[in-house]
Amino acid sequence: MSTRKTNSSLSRRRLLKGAALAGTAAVGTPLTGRAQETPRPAGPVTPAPNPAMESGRPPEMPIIQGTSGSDYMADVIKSLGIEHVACNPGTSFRGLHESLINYLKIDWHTCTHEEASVAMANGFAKIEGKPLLTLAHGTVGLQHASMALYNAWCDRVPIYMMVGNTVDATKRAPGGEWFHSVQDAGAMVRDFMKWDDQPGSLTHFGESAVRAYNIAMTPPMAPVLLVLDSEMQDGPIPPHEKLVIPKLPKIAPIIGDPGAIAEAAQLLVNASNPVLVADRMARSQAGVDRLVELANILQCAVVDLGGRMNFPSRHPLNQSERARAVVSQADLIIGFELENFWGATHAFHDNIERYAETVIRPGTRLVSIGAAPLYVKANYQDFQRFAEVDLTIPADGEATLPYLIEAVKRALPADRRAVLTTRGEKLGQAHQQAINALKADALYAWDASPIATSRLAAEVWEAIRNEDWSIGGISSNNRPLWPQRLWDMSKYYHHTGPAGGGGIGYGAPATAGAALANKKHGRITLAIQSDGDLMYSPGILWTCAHSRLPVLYVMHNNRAYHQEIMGLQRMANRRQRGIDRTHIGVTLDDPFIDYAGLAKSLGVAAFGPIENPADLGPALKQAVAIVKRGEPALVDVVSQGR
Amino acid sequence: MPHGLGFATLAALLTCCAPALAQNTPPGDANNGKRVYMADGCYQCHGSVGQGSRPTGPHLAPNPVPYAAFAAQVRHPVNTMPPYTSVVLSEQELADIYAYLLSIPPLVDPKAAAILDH
Repeated sequence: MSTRKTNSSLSRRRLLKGAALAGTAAVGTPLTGRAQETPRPAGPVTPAPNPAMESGRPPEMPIIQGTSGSDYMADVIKSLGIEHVACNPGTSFRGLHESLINYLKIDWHTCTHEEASVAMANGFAKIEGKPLLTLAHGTVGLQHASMALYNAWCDRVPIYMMVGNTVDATKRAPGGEWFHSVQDAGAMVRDFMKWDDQPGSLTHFGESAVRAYNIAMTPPMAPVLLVLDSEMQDGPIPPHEKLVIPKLPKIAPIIGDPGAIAEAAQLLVNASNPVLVADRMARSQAGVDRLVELANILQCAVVDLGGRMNFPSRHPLNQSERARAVVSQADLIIGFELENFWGATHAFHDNIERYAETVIRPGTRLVSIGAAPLYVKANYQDFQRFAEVDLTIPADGEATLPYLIEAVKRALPADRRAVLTTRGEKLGQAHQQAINALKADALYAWDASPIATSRLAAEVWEAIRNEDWSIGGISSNNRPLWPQRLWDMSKYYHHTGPAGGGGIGYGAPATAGAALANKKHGRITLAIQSDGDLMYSPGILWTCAHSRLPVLYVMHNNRAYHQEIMGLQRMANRRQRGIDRTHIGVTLDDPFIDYAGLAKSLGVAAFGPIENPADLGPALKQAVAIVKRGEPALVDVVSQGR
Repeated sequence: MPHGLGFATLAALLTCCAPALAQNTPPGDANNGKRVYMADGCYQCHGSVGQGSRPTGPHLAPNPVPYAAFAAQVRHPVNTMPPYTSVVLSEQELADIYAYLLSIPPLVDPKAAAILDH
């Protein structure tokens, strides 16, 4: 004990500082304390103080290692075809980080917030059709990431996430590593993850990593999480582990029951006014092309609700502009990956007494084809109100379409084709009338300042329409979605829908992720970027600059959380209090945010703020030229509320 | 799908009979009407020049509906528009807003917006 008393505080601090590197290992080595004077029976023995522990690393401790657990992890990750990482760094996964950059030399994208890295992964997966890897601390990083994971869960997007954790309490450095350690990291997000695991060995990791990928990529796709012990990452591969890389199987999506498909086909052939309603359906061009083929055969109305780009905007059978009209006249509605079937067939009124009414005719048959019923959880209510459909086919919509098409071909009598042709011609005329009305609508406020959202969309379209382009993330409330209405959209990547869970902060980083996926195809990625959404994670602009992502952000800068302004006004007017104070808490003014200045400070070329609509076209032209050189650009447009 | 089934109905109510101006339109101050329009919530849903927006509210101008229909909608709205009673919006302010809507110039010539044809 006298030795302990003579140790300086400096020596003790050195011990504590070194604990993460070597001290904890020393605890596990045989200790040479004083001999026990009285022999004890078998059982735990409390070691006596060890002076060697108080004076730094024992000379026999290894200082280099020949193998690394995280190198094996990197090999497994590579075997899954994962080519990119998006993450904010963290000590709890430093081992894997080092293996990924030095051993695997993976393509790395530094993010300034975990929510941004997961949203970036979300936008990437929607274009690429497979996930990138995102990493985070098991506690604070996962907490930051949780909202973005929820968006991906609601949106049926595969997110492949790993977080670090130090499981063995005796191996945690004092202080920070305790804050960053957790018994059950997955518990925090398990309600909106498809699967998670905390492997207990490297062999266990290999199996769980492949299992997780398989689960994430099987429709309904969804996020998965692996919690990686820091000791397992950092340390050498234990001699007893005979490591192999498990084989990733080819993943086949679930096809609908043949009998049910035949029944749906018969209903389609017999119906007078069938309507195909698609939401999160097309995850590839095959999905778009198949829906076009089915619609062309049937010459029936198609309504694209916009969860994905499901159906060409200028196809004559596209009736999305007059969705309520065709739904109300339908005698059969088939929903493809339409999770809110009830919402598509009802009008909901947000009055003092909230009420709803059906908008379909009595006797209209409803058929649902989608993967959502194959995996449902209870707590979060993303499954929407129960819809009384006549036939549910739990299956992947895109993969089931070819079988439905063949069934329709078999069921369609030759003498029915003339009737269908006439139906299609009428729908084509209605489509053209709706487009003409839409263009007339766009003339309103054409020269207004703040700039009308219709003018904004028209000018952006003029700037990019001759390029290969892709809208990245769409903020959930970024309506009225003029691009989807005005632009000629025909490719699945022309847009990939909004944030699944309505969580703001998705749009800007998801656009960056989409840009990463689009880059190798030479596509311009762009966003009509809500101001409120950007301010959740403005650091993504720096990521775009740092990673040389060709992306164009066009600010829809209405200087407010505009949806919330209208909600507050509704409350204030109901209560007859006036609305002179309803700007409080919902506007982004005093001072106005200088988005161009913000972008420039983060390394992104920027223009604006633009308030005169005549100035918009020239600025966009310059910005597109920059993006075509492979760099990001931002144009700040001071715009109308909606 | 847009939530408001009643949008089309409301739009029709507010724009179908646009040409006629009621003879008993009260006098109003367009400048003050613009101020009130922008400050008291019309702008948020209907845009700064009454252009409307599909998910939030229909066109109001140019060519607003007759004053009686306009006042009825503001005071006792159909569908989900919040009511502006005389407690929060005076009769004179209502007349001023209407005067502002009347002052909004006609739509641009479609030739000036030729990019819409692309």
